[in-house]
Amino acid sequence: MLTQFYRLPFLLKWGMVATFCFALLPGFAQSGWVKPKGELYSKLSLGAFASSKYYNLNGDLLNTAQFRQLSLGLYGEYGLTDRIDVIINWSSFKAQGFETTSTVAGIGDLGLGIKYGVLKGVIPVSVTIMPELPIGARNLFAQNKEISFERINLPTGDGEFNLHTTLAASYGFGAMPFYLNLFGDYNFRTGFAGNDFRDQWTAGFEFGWQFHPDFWLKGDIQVQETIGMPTQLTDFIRSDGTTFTGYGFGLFYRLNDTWGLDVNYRNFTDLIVPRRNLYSAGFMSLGLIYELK
Amino acid sequence: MKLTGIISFVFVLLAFTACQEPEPVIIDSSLPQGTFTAQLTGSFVEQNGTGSTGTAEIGSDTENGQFLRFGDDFVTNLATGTVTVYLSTSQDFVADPMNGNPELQLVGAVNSNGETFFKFDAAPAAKFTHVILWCGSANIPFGYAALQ
Repeated sequence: MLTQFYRLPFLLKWGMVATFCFALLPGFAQSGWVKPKGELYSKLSLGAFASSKYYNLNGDLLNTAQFRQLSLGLYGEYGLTDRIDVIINWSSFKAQGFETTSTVAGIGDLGLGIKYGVLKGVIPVSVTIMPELPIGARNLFAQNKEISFERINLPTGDGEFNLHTTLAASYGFGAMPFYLNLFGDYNFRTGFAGNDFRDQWTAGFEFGWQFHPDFWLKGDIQVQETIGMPTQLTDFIRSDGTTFTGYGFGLFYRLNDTWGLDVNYRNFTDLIVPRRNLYSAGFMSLGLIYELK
Repeated sequence: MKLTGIISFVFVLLAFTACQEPEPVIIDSSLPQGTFTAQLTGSFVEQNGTGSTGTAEIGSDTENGQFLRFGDDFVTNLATGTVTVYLSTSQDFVADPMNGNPELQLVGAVNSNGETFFKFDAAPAAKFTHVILWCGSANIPFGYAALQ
């Protein structure tokens, strides 16, 4: 298997590594590679999540009624030039609720970004600017099943305009079928309904390995921190004050030159940054990848 | 003839004006009438990082209506919607959905911070010593106040 990879031309190997990085992106332009002009990478993903373990703003674990969410995500990255990509990152549909409530559903917020390849070559570096437009439902009340006058607000959007700025670098290990991504992201947040949300930063790395001509395996670790102290009480759904250490594994299968499938598993821990204002559990997602070259 | 018509019109107008009733005074029976006097008072103790604080009082108005009052200083985390209010014989919420727990009495829902009144149909039993804030969607307590 590895021998087959070694025999491939150098540029093809790099292309395969870059393609795989795109295939397993959790939703942001977290690699240093940009798409060549006219090429498209797109992914439709379906994710399911359920948890009764909530970590509050103090980091205390609460056992609550189970929170459930089903989400459909759309990610697209198109090479406008050899150095500039345009990106769409959209939680196009979410259905969510507690086991004690009705389920509410709607579209999520829309990220539209530009990714610029600052450096190309052995260690490509990119910068991405991605505004997130609050087109999702800002308030969405789920009705309690037992108490007619109790309801809980579970919006599918966070109600705010925010701006992600991401710096990413990548490295392919020469002739070996491995790659490494490093990234840092700053999320400039505004607020909603008179509440100012605190900014957040995220950093992480991702490691990938092609163990078969058509299969890639990856693992990643990332941390998220909030800047500043809380200024008001908040809900978990808008993620104000949310911090965590996250990790994940993924498997990508190439169906042909155009289509691919991936399956990903994510979870959270307190290992580096403790969990706060977060429902924590394993999260599975399936992705359908379409590429245009 | 014309003068007669005008006089008739004025009389009719005066007659209708006289029939108009005075502007009704709307009494909100869910709020105390006259002065509210507290018989039991307590302060909220926060649970689960929800920021619950402020005072709770049980008392009556001048017409002997019975009320639970949250003070102007009442705060809890209402970012998620509403929180349900109970009277209880202890600080712990113990539900019995199939039979109903006699140690627990549903009062209502609170959806805003600051002063809120809940009117009772009858004076609550003396056995109830606590007010509980309960999020029925997440199934966790937001706080309690021991009444004295």
